[in-house]
Amino acid sequence: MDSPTEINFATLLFIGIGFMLLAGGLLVAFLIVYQKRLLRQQQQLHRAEAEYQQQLLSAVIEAQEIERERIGRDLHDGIGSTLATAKLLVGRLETLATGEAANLTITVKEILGNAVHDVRGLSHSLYPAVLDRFGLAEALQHLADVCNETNTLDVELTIDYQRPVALQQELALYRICQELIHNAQKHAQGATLLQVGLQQHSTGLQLRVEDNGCGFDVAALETTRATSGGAGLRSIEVRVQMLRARLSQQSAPGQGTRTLVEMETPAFA
Amino acid sequence: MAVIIGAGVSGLLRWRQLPGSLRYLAVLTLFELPLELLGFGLLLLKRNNLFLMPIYTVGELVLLGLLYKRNLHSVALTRALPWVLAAFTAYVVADSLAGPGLHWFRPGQQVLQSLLVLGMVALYFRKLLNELRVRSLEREPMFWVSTGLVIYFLGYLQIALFSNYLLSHYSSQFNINVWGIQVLLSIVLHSCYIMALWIRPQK
Repeated sequence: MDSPTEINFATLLFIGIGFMLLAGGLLVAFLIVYQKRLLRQQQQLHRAEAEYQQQLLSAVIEAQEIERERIGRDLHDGIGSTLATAKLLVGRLETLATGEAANLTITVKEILGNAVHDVRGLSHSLYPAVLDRFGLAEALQHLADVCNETNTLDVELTIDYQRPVALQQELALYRICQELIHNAQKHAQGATLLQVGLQQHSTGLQLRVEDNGCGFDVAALETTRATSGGAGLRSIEVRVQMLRARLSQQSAPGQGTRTLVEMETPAFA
Repeated sequence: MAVIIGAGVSGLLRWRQLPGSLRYLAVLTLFELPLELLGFGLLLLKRNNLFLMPIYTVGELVLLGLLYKRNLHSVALTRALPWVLAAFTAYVVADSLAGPGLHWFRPGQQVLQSLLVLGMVALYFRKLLNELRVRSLEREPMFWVSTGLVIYFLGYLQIALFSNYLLSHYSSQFNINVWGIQVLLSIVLHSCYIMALWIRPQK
């Protein structure tokens, strides 16, 4: 076989080498551009995460402040004024005749009884002792009972909860439920029934809170939340994140609101 | 030649400041320097210097392998590298002793070495994109080393492949022209080595 002429082979060889060098150059250029783009995306993601964490932190602090304000108001307006009244009446006991003093003592006892009741209510709202003693199912039942006694919105509770999760998780679920019930009582205009369900299955736990009230536009809420605060919902999100759970909310004007919190639990052995 | 001497001197001067992972690069430049000087001296004396190529090829691959092993932190590479290097060395020894002698090119050795080096560079580039730890590529020594190696070995691959064919079929002038390209590629590679040795790595 004859060798190709030098000029032809040289051309082919130089084109081949040139092509390979071009490919190498393009590879390096692509790497630089693509790496920079990935870095930009990563930085954007980090910024978004930091912003979200900042929002969550703000929500936690805001929720704490709101709670402190509420406790302070309850102490001042409720228990404080009740005790002040009792003190005033006890002061009058010294100047009264025996018969009147006996009647006044009964009144003071009633007032002090109310103060004790208020303290218990406040204490329960701060930390649900029933949760610690009897678990999540009993605590939710107690919460539903209190709501049914004090509010016009009926709370219907369905519980299928056989294997208790850790106390911290139960507390978070309880707080989420408390906040969702509070939201429904406050915002679900026209609602007559609030259904609360706690369902446990082989690998997870589902908390459902559903009302038949006025509902709302979910997309519109998302856009207004950033500016209008929404500390309650954000505190729910913080707890959902802490539980490594999923939060989903379905609602539409006139069709009520359904909120689901789903968390995975270790499979039952 | 000047750039190879420059790389060797850089390796020597920067030795103390270099992190452990880059000292293999300094060793590589210092390993290449006497071989290049010897090869150049033999060329001036019009003596065949191709017997140096197997030593150069094995030494270069071993040191580059160790350099990438220290920088990639890849379990698979760490496990495979001793076997690959041992197998390659055995092949180079066997290939050099067999056949027409040490005065001819060994395209098989060169092509295999090129492919192995390009493979390690590909692993480094993949890690670079996967982990995104490097913020500024121009301040990353291994990026310069890898870029130099990609350009050099992609260009050199075809020269190595046709080296014996060129030597036996074509004129000396044509051979000089082709090997001139190799010299240019070597200048690019060693410039990248110098860059990698002198830049201050980002923390």
